[in-house]
This record gives sequence, structure tokens and C-alpha cells, in this order.
Amino acid sequence: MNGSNQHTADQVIQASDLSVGYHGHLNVLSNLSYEWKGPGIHLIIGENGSGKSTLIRTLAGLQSPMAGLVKWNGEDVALISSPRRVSNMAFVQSIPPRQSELTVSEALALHEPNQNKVDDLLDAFNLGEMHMKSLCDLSDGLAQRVMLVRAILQDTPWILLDEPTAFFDVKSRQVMWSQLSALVAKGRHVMVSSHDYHLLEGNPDLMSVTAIGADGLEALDPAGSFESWNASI
Amino acid sequence: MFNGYGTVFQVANGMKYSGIIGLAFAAILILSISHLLWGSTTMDWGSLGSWFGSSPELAATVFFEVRLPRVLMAIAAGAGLGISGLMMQTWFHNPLAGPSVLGVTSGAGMAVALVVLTGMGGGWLVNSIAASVGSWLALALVWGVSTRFRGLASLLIFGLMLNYVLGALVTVLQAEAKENALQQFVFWGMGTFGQATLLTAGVVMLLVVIAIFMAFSLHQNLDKWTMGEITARSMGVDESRLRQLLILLTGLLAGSITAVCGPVAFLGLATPHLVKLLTPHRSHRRLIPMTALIGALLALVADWGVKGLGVFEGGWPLNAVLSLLGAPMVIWVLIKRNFTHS
Repeated sequence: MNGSNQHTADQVIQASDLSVGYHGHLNVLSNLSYEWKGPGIHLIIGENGSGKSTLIRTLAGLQSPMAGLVKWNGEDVALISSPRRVSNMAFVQSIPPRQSELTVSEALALHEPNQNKVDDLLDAFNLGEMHMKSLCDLSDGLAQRVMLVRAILQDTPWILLDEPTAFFDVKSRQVMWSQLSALVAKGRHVMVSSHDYHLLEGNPDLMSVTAIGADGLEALDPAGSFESWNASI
Repeated sequence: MFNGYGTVFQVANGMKYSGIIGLAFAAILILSISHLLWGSTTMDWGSLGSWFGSSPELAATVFFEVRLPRVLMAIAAGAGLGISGLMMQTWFHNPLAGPSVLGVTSGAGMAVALVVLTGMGGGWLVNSIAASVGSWLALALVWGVSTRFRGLASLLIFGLMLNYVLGALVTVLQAEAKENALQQFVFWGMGTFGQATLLTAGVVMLLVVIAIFMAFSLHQNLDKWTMGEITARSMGVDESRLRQLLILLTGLLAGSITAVCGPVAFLGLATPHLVKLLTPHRSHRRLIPMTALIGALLALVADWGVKGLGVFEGGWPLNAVLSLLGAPMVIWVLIKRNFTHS
């Protein structure tokens, strides 16, 4: 979908004086200024209810900020046209679709008409037998794998995953990380939100770790242990 | 929630999409011809010439003013209501949504009652405008409150309550109405394809064709929408535009069809389910053409029930036939689907 040079170039997501939340409610997080830059895995960790999902959706341009700006490569996300957003950013929600009757093939064909390419990726995620099944007939774990495959097929420089492992068994997690590693090796940018911060400790693909704490965002050493953050809350 | 259409129609599932489309076309053609030939005055191929010969004026009147408009209207209404049901089921992520379930048909009915029973209307154009406005108002109301509801049942209960309220207002209007206006309205309320003229059937057909093309142009967005609001947005769906187009489309379909045929039950709700029985495809690129065809087919079958079942000359009311056909189908869908998941 995109030129490969766009993928290898460093991409930046910036939050400037960003407040996130929902209209009619208190801001979930306020006055955040931060920058996520370069290929690799960017991990955002925080406890349940800390605002991870709200933050990552806002960074993905899927929810309007309450105040401040989200910028992709210096451009205000609100001003980027829908087709350009789609070619820049793929997003996987924390909950898989439970209502969609689309078959796996039909859902994936929305991004990639080439069936062979789709089949290869389905096989990698052990979904080879599933392509005539409806999404709503799959278990949450299987449906979430399909959504991950969908996001990869969207073929964007950034993939943002909100709590991607919640429904995954051990094997699915391993498959996911190895697929994400492969993407990182191709120069892609991956952002993952999770409360399960041990998940990626010591992962060589980690580019940044951001913890959501009482005082806003805190940068942790991606090569270090995240225990110190754990102790501080 | 389970897809739940199972393997009942294995033969059809094994059939190519184009095969099913071809069969549906053929069935529509055969049923249409049968409707054109048989009625209270029978025309058959052999006597057609002599019949036209002996009283050409009567034959032409029967053909062009009674049978042809009725067949065209049945096809347009079936296709249009089917599409309108499919659009609503997709938008609300709710398999039991449909224009009559969610009060859209009642909205149109209430508006027609208002103009007919107060003596302002009765004409086709006035009724159509009133019905369209009524269905759009009901749609806007349903759409407005739908974001506040979680779960499948709440929206349906809202539709039920809306139906009660609009029904109550209609009975108030009826109680106040003059006798001939009342009679006109009661017949309209039973539903019929038989009141259409060549002009009204033609206009509704044109609107239905436009609406089907409009729906088809949205097929990718509709597919994306099934995966949920956030995911759809991330895939480039502009939801407010999609919503506006779907309101325009479903309101236009339900309004214009209801104005001419009366509040037609079950076609909008049941047609998409029958389609999903017949084909394993779930992309709107496939569902939209099939829903239009199967809807038309269902309407023509039901109209045979209307013509054929009567003890008296008039036959059974359309809504009675459709309810007897449609209700068991919906109950069957309920049994097959596992609602505990949602």
C-alpha cells in the first residue's frame, strides 16, 4: 500500500499538552507531552483504569483530544485526511468483534485482495482452517488473532495494539511477538499498551517504555527492569 | 453470538453465488408471469389473444392498471424493505432490527394517519411525503437514543415502545375520524400491493433501484462497520457520513413503500435472514444484491398467498400472510442464535 521507504523512515508520534478523556467526564490524563519515535516496539504500561486505552486511541487519531494536540510526523492528526490515516496507522482494539458475521476471508479481503498473501499470514497464526468461519463464531482469542492479521495486512508504518494479549494463550503470544519482531525488522513501528509489564522485559525490540503513573507519563529504561516503576505505585 | 445459520441448506451453500442469483432471477420471472396471467380474471397464453380480441379494453385495463403495477410494486417493496432491514441490522449490529421492529414503519403510518384521518391527504403524493417525513422522524429518534443503549434487547424494547406510542396516537386519530376516511385508513393498514398504479409503482421502483445502488456503493464501509465503531474508524469509515446516508436511504425506502402499500410487516426483518440461510457469504457486496432479489421473491410468494387464500374475493390481508410466514422464521433465528453471548 505504501512505498517501502516510508516504512523504513523514522516515524514520530507526539503528544503536546495533551489531555485525553470523554466529553462530560473528568479528563483521564492531563497535560501530557511526550514523543514516541523510531522503529521498534513502544510499550505503554499502566494499571487497570489508568487511561491506557483512552491514550492509545487518542494517539491513533480515533478519539479527539480534550485539549492539546497529537501530531504524526509534525502534523496535527485532526487535520490528516482519512485515507492518509488509514495508510499510516493500523489499530487493534482490546476486544475482538463479537457481532461481525463476516467470514475471516471477507474481513481480510478488505485490506488485501491477494489471497495467497492472506493465506500465508493466516498459516503463521495457525488460522489456516478458519477462513470460511464467521468472526462471531470464533472464540475471542481466535478472533483477536484475525484482527491482528488484519492490522498487519493494512501494511502501515505504525501498528497500535491496545491490550493485545488479553485473550491470547501462551502459544498465541509467542506467535504474536515473533510476527511483531518480523515487522520491526522491516522498520515498522509498533505501539503496545498493557498492564502486564513483565511481558516484554528484556525484549530486544523494545524501543521505549512509558509508564502511566500518578504524575503523568514516566519514561523507563527499555533495557532495564520495570520493577522500579512497580514499586513506585 | 453465533452465526447460527448452520448447515440446513448445505446444497445452497455448496452452490456458486452466481447460481443462486440466477435461480432467484428465474424464480422472480416465473412468479411475475404467473401473477400477470392469473387473477380474478384468468388470462392464459392460449386464450390471451382471443381475450384481448374479444374485449381489448378490459384486458388492457386489467393488465396495465391492476396486474402489472401490482407485480412491480411487490418486487419494489420486497427488494426495498429487504435492503432497508439489512442496513438497519448492520448499522445497529442487531439481527432483529428492521423498519417495522424499530418503529420506522409506524412513524410512516402515524404520519399517513395524520393526513388521511384529518382529511388533509389521501392523495398518493401527500401520503408519500408524509410517510417519508414520519419514517425519518422515527429513524432520527431511534438513531438518537441508540447510542445510549447497550445490548441487543434495549433497542428492540425501545422500538416496541415507540410502536405502542405511535399506535396509540393512531387510535386516537381513528376515534376522531370521519367514517370514509377511517375505512380508507383501515384498508391501508392491512397492507397491500394492489393499490399501486403504474405511476406509483414506477416511482417507488425507481427510488428502490437508486437506494440499492447507494447501499451497494457503501458495501466496504458496511463490512468494516460490522467490526465495531473503533475498528471501522481505524479502517477509514466516516461514521457520521455513513449514518446520514443510511438514514436517508432507509427512510426513503420505508417511507415511499409504506405510503403506497401500507405498513408492510416482516419483509425487512426476515429477508436478510433468509439470504443468510441460502448463502455462506457475509460481505455486503454479496448480501445486498441477494437481499434485493430474495426480498422481491418473498413479496411475490406472499402476494400469491394474498390472492389464493381468500374465502372471500379479496383474499387474505398481506400483513396476515407475511406475519404467518415471517414470525416462525424469526423465532427460528432466535432459537438458532445464541443470544447469551451478546
